[in-house]
Amino acid sequence: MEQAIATYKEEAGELLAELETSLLELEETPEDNDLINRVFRAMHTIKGSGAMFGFDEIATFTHEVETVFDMVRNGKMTVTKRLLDLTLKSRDHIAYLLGCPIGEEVDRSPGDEIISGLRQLVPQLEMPQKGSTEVPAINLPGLSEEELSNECTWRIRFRPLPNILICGTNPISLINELRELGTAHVVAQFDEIPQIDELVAENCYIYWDIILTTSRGEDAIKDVFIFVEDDCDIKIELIDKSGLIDRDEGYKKLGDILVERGDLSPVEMQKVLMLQKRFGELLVEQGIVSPEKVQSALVEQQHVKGVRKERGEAPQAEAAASIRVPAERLDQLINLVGEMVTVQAHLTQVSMAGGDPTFIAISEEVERLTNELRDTALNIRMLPIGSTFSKFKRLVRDLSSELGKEIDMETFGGDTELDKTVIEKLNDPLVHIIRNSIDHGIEMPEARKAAGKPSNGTVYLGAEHSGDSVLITIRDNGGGLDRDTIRAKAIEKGLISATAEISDREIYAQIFAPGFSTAAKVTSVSGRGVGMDVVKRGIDGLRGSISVDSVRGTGTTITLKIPLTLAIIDSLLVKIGKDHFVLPLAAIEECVELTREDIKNSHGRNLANVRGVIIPYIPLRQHFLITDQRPEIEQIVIADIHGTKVGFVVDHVVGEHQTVIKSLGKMYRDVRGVSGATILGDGTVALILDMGVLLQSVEELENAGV
Amino acid sequence: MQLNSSVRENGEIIITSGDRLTIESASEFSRIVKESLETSYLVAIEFEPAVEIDITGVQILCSSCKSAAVSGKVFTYHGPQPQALAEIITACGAERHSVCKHNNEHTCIWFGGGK
Repeated sequence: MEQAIATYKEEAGELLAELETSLLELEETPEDNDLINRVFRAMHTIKGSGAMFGFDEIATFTHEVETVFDMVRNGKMTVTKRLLDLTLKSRDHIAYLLGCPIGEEVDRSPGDEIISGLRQLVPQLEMPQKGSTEVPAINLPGLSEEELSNECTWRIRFRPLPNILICGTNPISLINELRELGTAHVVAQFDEIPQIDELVAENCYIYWDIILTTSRGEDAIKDVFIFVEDDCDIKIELIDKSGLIDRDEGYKKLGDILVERGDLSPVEMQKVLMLQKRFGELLVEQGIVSPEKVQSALVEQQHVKGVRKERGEAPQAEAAASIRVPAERLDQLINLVGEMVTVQAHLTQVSMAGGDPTFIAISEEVERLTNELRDTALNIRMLPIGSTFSKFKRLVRDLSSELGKEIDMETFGGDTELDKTVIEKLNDPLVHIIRNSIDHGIEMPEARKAAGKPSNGTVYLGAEHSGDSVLITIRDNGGGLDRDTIRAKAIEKGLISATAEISDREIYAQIFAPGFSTAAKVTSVSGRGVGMDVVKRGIDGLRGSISVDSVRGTGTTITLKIPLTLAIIDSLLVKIGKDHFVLPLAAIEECVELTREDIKNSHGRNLANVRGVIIPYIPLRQHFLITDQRPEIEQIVIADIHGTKVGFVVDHVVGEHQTVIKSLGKMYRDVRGVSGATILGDGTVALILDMGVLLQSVEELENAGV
Repeated sequence: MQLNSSVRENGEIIITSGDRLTIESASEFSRIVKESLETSYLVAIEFEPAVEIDITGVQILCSSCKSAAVSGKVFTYHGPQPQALAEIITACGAERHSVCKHNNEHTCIWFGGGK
């Protein structure tokens, strides 16, 4: 039962996210019937499943909001800002209720306020009594002509797994939900109930045949079973649709129904037909089909005949297109693929060393398959980033209203996919950036008008692919950053020297320093100087980079460059002495030789002249105190770190490498410049270097005069 | 009252339902019926008027009835059927419209049905 509740909570959380997205979209297109239906369905599913798993508070509360949206759906109410405000609050209240342990006292006052607000919107609406724990049935109004024309009859065989009752699921609740969808005839099948000496009392042996006529579509039926789909076999077949299947008032013969259901074979049917008696009786008499099954087929026959008679006269069921898999299982798969990549590297190494052409061919084939497996496994974890965009729309909506500003949010590239872990970790940085844009970036409406801008400000949030990374852009059309104030503040804080000649971009980058704030006053939204350094740390943690562009009076653009995945990266494998190191390939631009002569010519300064451009470098041998014999010719790996070209001197460049990232133990957590480790083909460990942090630590040492 | 059984002078075993024939008591209920059918030709249930019944209760009634029919015994009830049984029969679509082959082609005394 606990597992079922956890699953419900997880899925209800997803439904709430979908609900929020739909509501925010509805604000822009209030007459979009698809969106209205999505809101209704999300509410309906949360309610129905809530009741099933004992979340009576959720079921009761959600029912009331759902009832209002049912009126909207039926054209009896229109979508207004007030309705959306209340429904968004309802979503928050449901989220709160979801977090409350079942059976414990909950704070009903926010829910009561919302319901009271909804009542004012629809005074004619009959709401259930406050505090009622019973979930009342939805009183659907009479079917419109359009709904009638969408009416379909479905044959549903619902066969729960034996343990469904022990898991706490009550199949009757599900059947009642189906009844709410339209006209249903339900026949319980008892033929699998064993005799008492074989009966396991807590198991479920009954299964059900349900004939349902509804205008709500197959998805609505599937939604009923959404939380038990792993605990039962469900077969849903379209057997009648207005205007499409068998226009006449009659319906299939009993034998045809039984054959379709798989309860009777065509050969058996022919045999019985030869006897010229009532078909159902013959089947039962001869023990070919149980009376219950004949009865169930007769119920179907009568049901459809009735429906057709009444009306005077959807697409086919689709196979399940997706399955739900716990995230931990995917993580486990990625770990296994990582191990496999490592083993494959070892295999390649051994095969190359052996020189046997057959063995090499096999190892190359394994390498190809492993790469495909790796890409496929990583793709499974990719999610569209748009799923998080709606959260930010809500943030913009709520904060702008709190600050008295008029701000819209526009998004693009919501279907850009990123690793799920990356998406989760992007949340905090994006919240901070957007809060800053709203608070410091976008001006008050009067100030915007005075500056000749429209009173409505806009925050743009978008994502796009760029090689093996995704660029996330947060742009506002506010006042832009004040270069001089930032510079002055940075000098005051000792972050840059007063005489330093640095680019605008470098000045803007100072806003990511810990404790940096130019805000004259601290608001509830931002200005405390904590936030943008959190952004920087968050993005660094994702091995990403961040850049700021701003034009005074026009706006600011912050661009985050994030790697597609955190699990396996393309890297450059290098060697210093006997040790291997790994440098992430994304930032590397080129490798050049560094001779003893070059070192001598630079007079002790770590600078290299690369085709006329002076590039500073960090001798890693020195940095890591590696003391064995230095080669005559070393290699400088030149990387672009936040717009600055920096070289890293190593003994040898081994080549490109697929690096499976392993985290370092607690003991190494504070080692700066090392972000992880990987296991090479021969089993040795190579450290993964964090070039940005290495550069920073060397700069700090130099500034300290060490 | 507790779920229990007692033997009458004529050998009939009476099972009293107690307050609930639900999943919590299903194991005990099925054990009592099984033992009763093993020892007596006639087993009857006396329901508490306010007894709660769920699907497990319905299944045990059906299973017991099948077992009794196979061994030529009688499994029945005394007094009125409780409201809860009528409700769950309707709710789970258990009403029979035909005779029960396990009950020697007779109408099911629990779930109805006819020729």
